[in-house]
Amino acid sequence: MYVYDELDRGLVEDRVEEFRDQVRRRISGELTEEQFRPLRLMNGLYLQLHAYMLRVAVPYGVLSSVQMRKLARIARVYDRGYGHFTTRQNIQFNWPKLEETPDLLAELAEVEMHAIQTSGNCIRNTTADQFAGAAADELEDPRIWCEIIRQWSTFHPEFTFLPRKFKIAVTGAVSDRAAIKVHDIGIVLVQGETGETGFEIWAGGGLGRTPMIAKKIRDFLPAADLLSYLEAMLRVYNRFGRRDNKYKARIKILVHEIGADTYRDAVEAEWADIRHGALALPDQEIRRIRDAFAPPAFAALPVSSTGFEARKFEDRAFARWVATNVRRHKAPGYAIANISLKPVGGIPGDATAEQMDAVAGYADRWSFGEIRVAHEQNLVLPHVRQDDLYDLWLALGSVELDTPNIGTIGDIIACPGMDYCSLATARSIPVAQQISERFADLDRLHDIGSVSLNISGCINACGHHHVGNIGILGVDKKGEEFYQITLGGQADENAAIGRIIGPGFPADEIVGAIETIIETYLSVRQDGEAFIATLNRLGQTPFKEKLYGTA
Amino acid sequence: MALLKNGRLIQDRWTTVDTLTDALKPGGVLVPLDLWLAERETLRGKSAVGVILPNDADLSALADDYERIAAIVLTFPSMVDGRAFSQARLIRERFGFDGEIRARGPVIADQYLYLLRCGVDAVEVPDDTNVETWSHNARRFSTVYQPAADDRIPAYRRRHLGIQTAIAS
Repeated sequence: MYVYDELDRGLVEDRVEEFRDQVRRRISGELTEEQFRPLRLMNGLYLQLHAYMLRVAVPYGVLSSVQMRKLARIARVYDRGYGHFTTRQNIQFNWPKLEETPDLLAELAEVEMHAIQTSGNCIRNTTADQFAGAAADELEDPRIWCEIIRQWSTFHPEFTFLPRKFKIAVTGAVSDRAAIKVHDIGIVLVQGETGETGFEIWAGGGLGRTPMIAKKIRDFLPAADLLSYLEAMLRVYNRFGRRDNKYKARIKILVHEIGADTYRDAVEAEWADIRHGALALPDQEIRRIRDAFAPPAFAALPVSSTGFEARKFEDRAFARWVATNVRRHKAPGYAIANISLKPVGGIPGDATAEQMDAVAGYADRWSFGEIRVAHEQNLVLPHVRQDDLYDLWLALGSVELDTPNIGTIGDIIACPGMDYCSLATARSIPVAQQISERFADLDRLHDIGSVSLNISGCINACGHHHVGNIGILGVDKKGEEFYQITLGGQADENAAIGRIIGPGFPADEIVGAIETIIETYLSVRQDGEAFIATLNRLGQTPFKEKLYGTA
Repeated sequence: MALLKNGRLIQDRWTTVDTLTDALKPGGVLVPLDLWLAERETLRGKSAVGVILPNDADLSALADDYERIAAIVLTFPSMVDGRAFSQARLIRERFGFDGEIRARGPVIADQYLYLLRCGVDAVEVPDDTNVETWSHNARRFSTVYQPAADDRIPAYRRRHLGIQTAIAS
């Protein structure tokens, strides 16, 4: 993991004092709410339905056990004993008091954490593959480049008042788990002709009211040019992105309106002028950061463990958890263990302080002290010995974190919805809870297999419904909550926007409608065919007929 | 309005005008870009002319003029419209302008560091501005992570300069 040096530490401490001063000036009236608003947002502090909400950055989803324990403490002291992991790999606390937030930030700074740029019209937390440094299909660890981007984008003097928020995602693997094609900028690590690291660059993806898949802007960008190219991309956006309408201010609209070719030409022209300037990264710095992400000291182990195989044979429940929650690791004898934060009937992404402390302990014991946050709102222990998986699974069970549903219909992404959010037009959490209860039977859940179901409580699409295989959008129709279903969305390397299947359903019918869709899939699927493959083979017709009748 | 420059609140000696007649009167004048473009042959004869740029102005329209202009006023229609931050950097870094670049609009002390880093060296502020708040904000951060129009050395270079240099900077 990256460890702060005195420069990083000083900067975060300076930030705490800056925010303390801003809160003081707000309380004294020296700053108006209008002036304070963009400042507090750039520090992740929202005014929600009931109270302030503080979003803490988890850079590219990487946490140490020490940091996780601090989050647990913050949940206890400043919140009501829990935190909420988000689709941007961050964590939110729903109940801090304004006057306490500077102290909260000071506590975070002690463990090299902060809330910098977790909101506001600036470059947000750079997100990455949650299996970075562990995945079997990885070309190179994306965290190296995420950290470089994190530093460059922090308090960038030119890009702190952009037309709108700006999100960058990086993946270094064949399977895209970072959803790079629905980000403002998506970066894919690739190898050049002589094996050198470089990047494929995408731009203009995004969800929200106008979902769009990113366009490829460059096939290959040499590694040392990363920051100058990003600066050129951001500068073109900052100067020419729309500011007349906040819903048309994201870069996706700019790229769409002027066309990817025109955008690319503008970026390349800008880049030609700055490419050889001060942004070229010194080799020593790339090396320093690369060293920080050197793999932990993996033991030399056989590819598979006979003890582990025997456990799976003996204990069906364990085998089931392994089948859904464990993924292949690049190091022989190791595995990636996913921890579902989607218990049946629970709130997607919520974890109690006790659970956070427990996970920190398991990470110390079994995963080199490392934890990841996945954008699907789950946690990950990235480096677990296969031999330790059984003990880990038992331990997870003791804190109700052993739900075997990763990648299934129980693994729902949901925004906070009308229960917390002032923008929402419908509730999301109760719908997620009811669906997970309807599909609680594990045999059935596993028979259904891999399917993503995402729920948003308004058209701003924080629950990423557009890219769920099944998407649910809650809308308000004359004071009544209605839920619109989209099918066919994907957030991976085959990114696609789901299409609306037909008229929406009232709250008491939406769960039944989802069940109809799943039953239809089960009746028409071919052997071993996942939901999305069946849908892509047959189209929406069979589902539509079952939902709305053939007339 | 007063002018905040070099850490001090000073009286603004420049007058904003919008006709050629007024522009040709004695004293420093700030003229809209359109007026400058229409009358630049005449205005070039005058020593103290500054140009007010809208924040969507094409900066290359002034490519031949930067050496002759004494000041440039960048426009912030609101504190969150950040287009002029890019303009400031381009005017300093690409066009090599070394006159005064001032910010006009409702920018606040918390943006001062960003303004300075992008090359703005003067800000139009209310007369009762607390200079200490602004100066303090300008000095707040011990580290910068990226190069800009100022001479601060970004962390990724400082780290590899050796300890002595790091302390000196």
